[in-house]
Amino acid sequence: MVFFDWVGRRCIESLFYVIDLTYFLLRALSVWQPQRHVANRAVYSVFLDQLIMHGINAIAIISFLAVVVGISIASQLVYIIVSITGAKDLIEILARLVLSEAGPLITGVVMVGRSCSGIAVDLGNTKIAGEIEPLQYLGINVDDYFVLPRIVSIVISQVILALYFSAIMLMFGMFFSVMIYDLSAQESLKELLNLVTLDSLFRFMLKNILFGLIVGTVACFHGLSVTNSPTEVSEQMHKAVVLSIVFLFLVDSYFIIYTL
Amino acid sequence: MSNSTVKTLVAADEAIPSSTEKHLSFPVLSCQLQDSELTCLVGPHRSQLRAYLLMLAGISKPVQGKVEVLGQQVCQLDQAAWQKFRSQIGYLSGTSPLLSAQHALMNVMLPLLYHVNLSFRETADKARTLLAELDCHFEATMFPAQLNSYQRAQLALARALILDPSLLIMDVPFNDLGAKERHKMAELLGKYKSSRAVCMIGGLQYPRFLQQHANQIIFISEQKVLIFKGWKAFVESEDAEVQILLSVF
Repeated sequence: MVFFDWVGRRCIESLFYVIDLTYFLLRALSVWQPQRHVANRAVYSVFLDQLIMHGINAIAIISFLAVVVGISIASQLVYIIVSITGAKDLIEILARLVLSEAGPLITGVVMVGRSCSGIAVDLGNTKIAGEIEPLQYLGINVDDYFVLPRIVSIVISQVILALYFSAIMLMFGMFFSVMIYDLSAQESLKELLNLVTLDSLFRFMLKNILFGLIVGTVACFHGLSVTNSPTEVSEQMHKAVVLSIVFLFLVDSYFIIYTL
Repeated sequence: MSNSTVKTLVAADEAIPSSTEKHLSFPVLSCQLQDSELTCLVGPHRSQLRAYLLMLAGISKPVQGKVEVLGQQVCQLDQAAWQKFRSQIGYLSGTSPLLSAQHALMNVMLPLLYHVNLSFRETADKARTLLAELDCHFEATMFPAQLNSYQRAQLALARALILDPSLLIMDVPFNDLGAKERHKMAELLGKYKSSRAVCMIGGLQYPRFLQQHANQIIFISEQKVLIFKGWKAFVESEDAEVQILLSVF
């Protein structure tokens, strides 16, 4: 009985958490009202800072991971596929795995490790230090200045980095396959491009936008959930990282079921 | 100045502030804050004074009575109107720091960039001019953590004044300042008081400032609110609670 009680309570807590998180995101998005300047310069400068921090500064690690994962996954795949089917489905399986799974997911995990934790700690410390309150009193909206630029920059970074990651990973995967199995590079590329349909591209973009929204929203939500103790910063950061990863895999599972 | 030409910027009528401090009782306050005048809230409880300050600043709503700030009742404003309204009120806190992730110039520019659609260059020029007026002798690209407490206080004042507000609210402006720095800060505050209404708490750490500039001193305790016309009337008060408070300083 105690066990079911515990499970029930956890389910209700999780439901309320998702409602809180959705409300937080909708409230942040609602600052874009018709009377507001679209390019508010204060918000724009934060957005650029965040885009550099979470997008441009992540290019090096994403490139490295794309090359390494491209070669390692390709080598395993090539071995398995060739031993089962011969080389004929190699490119299709590689493209499907990279475009619909590995690219968005690995980029998402990197974003969680780099940006989600960074944003949660940054906002948590800013709140603890009392830096937010005087700005609110000067009429600066917290959602507008602190939350929205971070979420939007994470979404843009996730989409572009996932695209970049997938391209590099596919390129190295193909290069590896061509080198080992004497496939025609031109043929393989043509076959690969044929596999990229509008529908698959739309799914890829949608998935990455959702991933970005999850990482950005969870990070800001937990960063601003810090109330008055410095110990809460690390606590909220851990929660943000763990829950972001859980949500990423949940959304990913939904997409897998949807695309099967 | 005759009473007919004095502009009332804040009017509180039988108002009680909202507060999370449930163990304190809050007596009703009726007062007016007028243009070119400095009002100081004094009393034994810091959190109680802060609740009244936030109410007079239009930041929190009264739980009872009416408060009109710049001719508007705060509880009737929607989000957009509230933001516009806030841009007319400067806020300086001696305890809450500047944005540590932004350099000094950006900290000062921020309210102007957010509320006024000016270019970066125009905004930066305006901020630099204000910093020069406030006699700031440090690199504008330094971060708040690299500055001393007086320089940070100067920056906080510049940030509060950048939108040229008609009402300036100060929450312990002399916090963390040494004697010499307090004197310099008092000179700056006295200079900027002439064109706006100023309401502050925390002036008792530097009585000379109140002696020179305070036009109104509002004493607030759990039992009563007493309003004095200047420092002389305040120190000459025979009220026991006022005398106890003065003896502490």
